[in-house]
Amino acid sequence: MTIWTGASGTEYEPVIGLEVHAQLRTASKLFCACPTVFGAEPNHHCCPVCTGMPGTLPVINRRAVELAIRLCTAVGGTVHSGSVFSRKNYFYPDLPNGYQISQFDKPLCTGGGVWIDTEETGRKFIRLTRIHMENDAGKSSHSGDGHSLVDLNRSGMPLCEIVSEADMRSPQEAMAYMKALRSILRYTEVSDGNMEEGSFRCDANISVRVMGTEPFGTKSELKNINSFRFVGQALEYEIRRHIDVVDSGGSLEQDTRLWDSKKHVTMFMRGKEDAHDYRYFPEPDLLPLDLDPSWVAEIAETVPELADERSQRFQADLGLPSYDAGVLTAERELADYFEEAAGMVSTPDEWKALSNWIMGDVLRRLKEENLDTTAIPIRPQRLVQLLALITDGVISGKIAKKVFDELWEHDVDPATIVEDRGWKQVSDTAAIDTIIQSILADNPNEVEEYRAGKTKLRGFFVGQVMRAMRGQGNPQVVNQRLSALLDNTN
Amino acid sequence: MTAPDPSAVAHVAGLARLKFSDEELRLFQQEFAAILEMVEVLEELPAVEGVDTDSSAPTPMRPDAVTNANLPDAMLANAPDREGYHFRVPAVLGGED
Amino acid sequence: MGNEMDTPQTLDEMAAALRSGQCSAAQLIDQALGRAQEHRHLNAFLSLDPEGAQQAAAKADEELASGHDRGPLHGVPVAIKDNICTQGMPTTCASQFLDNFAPPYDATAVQRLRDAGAVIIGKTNLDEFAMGSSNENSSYGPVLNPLDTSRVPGGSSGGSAAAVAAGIVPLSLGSDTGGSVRQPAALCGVVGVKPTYGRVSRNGLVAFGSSLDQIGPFATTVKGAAGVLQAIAGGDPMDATCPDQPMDNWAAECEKPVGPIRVGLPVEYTADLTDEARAALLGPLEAMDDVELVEVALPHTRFAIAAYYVLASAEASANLARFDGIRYGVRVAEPESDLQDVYVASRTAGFGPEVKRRIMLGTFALSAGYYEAYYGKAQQARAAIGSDFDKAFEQVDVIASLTSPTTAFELDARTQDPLEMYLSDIFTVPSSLAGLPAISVPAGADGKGLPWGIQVIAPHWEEGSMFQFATRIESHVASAGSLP
Ligand SMILES: [Mg+2]
Ligand SMILES: [Zn+2]
Repeated sequence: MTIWTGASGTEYEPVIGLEVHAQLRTASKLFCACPTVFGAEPNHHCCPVCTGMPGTLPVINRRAVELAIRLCTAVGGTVHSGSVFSRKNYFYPDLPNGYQISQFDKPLCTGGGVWIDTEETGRKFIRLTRIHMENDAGKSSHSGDGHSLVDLNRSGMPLCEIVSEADMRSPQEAMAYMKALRSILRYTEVSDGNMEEGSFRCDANISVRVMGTEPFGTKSELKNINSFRFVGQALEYEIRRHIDVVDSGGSLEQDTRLWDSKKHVTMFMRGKEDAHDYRYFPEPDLLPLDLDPSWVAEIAETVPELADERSQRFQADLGLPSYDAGVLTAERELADYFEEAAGMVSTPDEWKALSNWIMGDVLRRLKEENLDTTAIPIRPQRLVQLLALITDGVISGKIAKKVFDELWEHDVDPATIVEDRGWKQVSDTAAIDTIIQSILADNPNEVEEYRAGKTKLRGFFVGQVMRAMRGQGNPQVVNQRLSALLDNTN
Repeated sequence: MTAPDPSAVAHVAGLARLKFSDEELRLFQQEFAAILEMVEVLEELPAVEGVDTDSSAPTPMRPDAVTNANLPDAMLANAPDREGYHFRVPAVLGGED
Repeated sequence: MGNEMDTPQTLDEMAAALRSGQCSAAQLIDQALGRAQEHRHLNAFLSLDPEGAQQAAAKADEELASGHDRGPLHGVPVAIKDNICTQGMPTTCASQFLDNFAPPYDATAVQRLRDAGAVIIGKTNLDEFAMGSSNENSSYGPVLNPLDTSRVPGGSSGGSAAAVAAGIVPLSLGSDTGGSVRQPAALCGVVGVKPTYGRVSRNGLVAFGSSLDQIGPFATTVKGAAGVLQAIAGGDPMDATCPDQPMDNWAAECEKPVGPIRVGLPVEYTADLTDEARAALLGPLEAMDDVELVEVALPHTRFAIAAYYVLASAEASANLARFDGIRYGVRVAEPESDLQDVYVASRTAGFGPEVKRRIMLGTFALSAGYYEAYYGKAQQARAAIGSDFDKAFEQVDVIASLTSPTTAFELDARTQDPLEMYLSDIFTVPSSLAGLPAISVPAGADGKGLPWGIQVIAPHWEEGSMFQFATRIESHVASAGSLP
């Protein structure tokens, strides 16, 4: 557990709350019929509504509401019928109407929470304050000649804002919370959680207090952090900055800051006195969101078993370590893959072996080839077949890697691969003895040195034998016969 | 309810992104005072109970369908300044919400 | 075309003349354009579209000749208030800000008029962004009342009212937020309708007070107004506040034989009337057969103007935030200007004084620390006013009042005092807050020969009974010969 200590030796505790914006996985925008596809030419996915032309009106996307309700159910929040959209007024060129349509005093959902698991503090429940719906703004970039260029393709994208209580006490917890939330969004197919494309972003509220005291310190708000790593780094920086000021007897001003990921510092954006007066009022163009209870119940039925629950089950039923369970359940598709394979075997050793293969070779290959977990080319059944060949002593672990590489390219029964390539493991004592004897005969100096006490050379003999057997010697038998023929003649 | 003083009127003008001369601000303050005096009648409104402000109509929702035409030229036709298919504006500094 | 005496004037006459071959749509459009030229001094139009109109008329003539009859509006000239979007045609809202703006889409109401075969000849003048009661707040100069050019036509839809009153077009569209169709209709001596909130799509109507705005027709006759409303009304998937609701055939409703009716007279609306005004209202009502006049109480009326100006201005302050000089409209920028300078300079240059006044009031009413006292209270007042009407309609079928407490006033008479101007809408604002349908029908004239208007308010979605009773007033007044 990191202890945050000031120069005076006083210990401090960070207090962190996050506001996450997640883009809902719809085909069209929240209030108009423009596509949500990423990467279009500037202003090509725009219409009079999302460019804020005079006289245009918002009409809400039913699918967006459905996805938001599914998320609320997944995190155990209370879904409110009669939630109200409000206008949040501020001027910005990305915001074509001069107001964002958001929810204010009557959000769609309150309460609920997310389980996280960190090495430092173990399992912990992070409470949610609320979840509400709102539309996204556009994007501006610099032209290089002192101008900004505005692209409204993002304008009107459907977002959920997920506001946590200030329940996190370290950057690690904050990152774990973000990962857990993203996992839920992806499991439920509410959002693709794609950070590069801006469909998962976060604002963090951070303050520090003297360890063991109640009242919160003055907070800073960190805006628009778009990676797990940056959240960790920005919070570390900001905690340190707060402690340095407070510990030296200074006082902080409430402010809003931006993380500069190049310089690794947070930069002042505006102080409390410049805080916006958003002048929220109910959006007159939309009626309150009256929800049919049977529809809400129907949506609740579509929430799948989530990562945390699944991880608990993998540990309890399959005896997996919590680390393995965590890695395997982080993505729904990977957990599905593991679970399909696991269903074909029946012992904890086999389950653990499958877990090792997936966490090791499968994830490594995916990463190398920049594939996601939906794209594993080896069917679970093949992995189980491969495992059986090792268990049955047909191939060594080393050969298994080669078979795995073959399977990655072609969907064939691993036994056939082993057969065709002549990769079967050799356990026959007589055959192995013959090879050992010829190796010993070819290397008389090494035999002498070994027998004189240079036992390090044993590895050399093992290597020679295995090379002569093209890796197919059963390592146990090879070792055993080496002992017999090399050591016993002494 | 008292009428806002000139600095408060200037603050409201700032929120609304409008600018007034000192003379105009003084005039506004007078007009505000008169209008707010008229509006003051609302203080006499008895506490309303059981008044239904909610609409009983169900919220209409649109299906999640992409039906707009790809018309960047129409969207940019009225732009005071553009660069390619971007709207061009004096520099935006920092981010916002 | 025959002489002026034979020229069809009303929607009915035009529809009949087009089908009997007495005239063509092309002739009607030329006549309308000619009259618009003759009446240029009224400043009723901000733009005319002779080419577009002549093309549309030619098409209408072809269609009618080939038996493709789109109904009563087919081939008839109409004018559209210039805060209603017309694709590719100027839509300025009478504001410097939108001097060069041409929207890329048609308002739903405009689209429906086109579908009904109506021919749009041009866009009419208004108070800037529909904010005003005299049409003196237009950036392009005031509209003059055709009945007396020293007087205002009322506002904000003054151009659309004047265009009908001057006989340029038999029909036009306006928009009504707190009385902006009914009050100019009354002051110009024509019929004007504010439908039930949600009856007509607001898609394409440049928003002022979104929870109040409705597009409504002007016409020379009640039946003409009913015909236009029939064409533009009905649910629109582009407007979440515009549901599918059953509609009667309102033009037929106007001609139905009618039985006894109970008409409510709100005491709050008659208490302070001058004798002349009272007579203008009660004269026709008392003289009509089968009309039972019932005094009703609308006790929260005194809160209406305050609630209206808070709510409409609050909504306007947000609705007009999109006019920032980025995507359309005026941009005022010096070489050194930063973004904030552009916003401030563009908006300050683009908006006129009344628009700024309302944005300021609305911004203030929503700002931190004031919301509850202003917006919150105003919403409560609005709800109370709505329930006043609900109770009254338990006793009566419709409610009648004067549309405006005065007849047309002189230009400049009220421009120095915004408050006095606001009170012009005292009888129209409450039904706007309640979302009720209301119509103004010409009644008698005052001593100077200027028309009074009687307002008929009906329960939600009951435009049918509103048109029926309005037709009775119309025929009674016509037979009494008391119109100017
Ligand atoms: Mg937000
Ligand atoms: Zn759009």
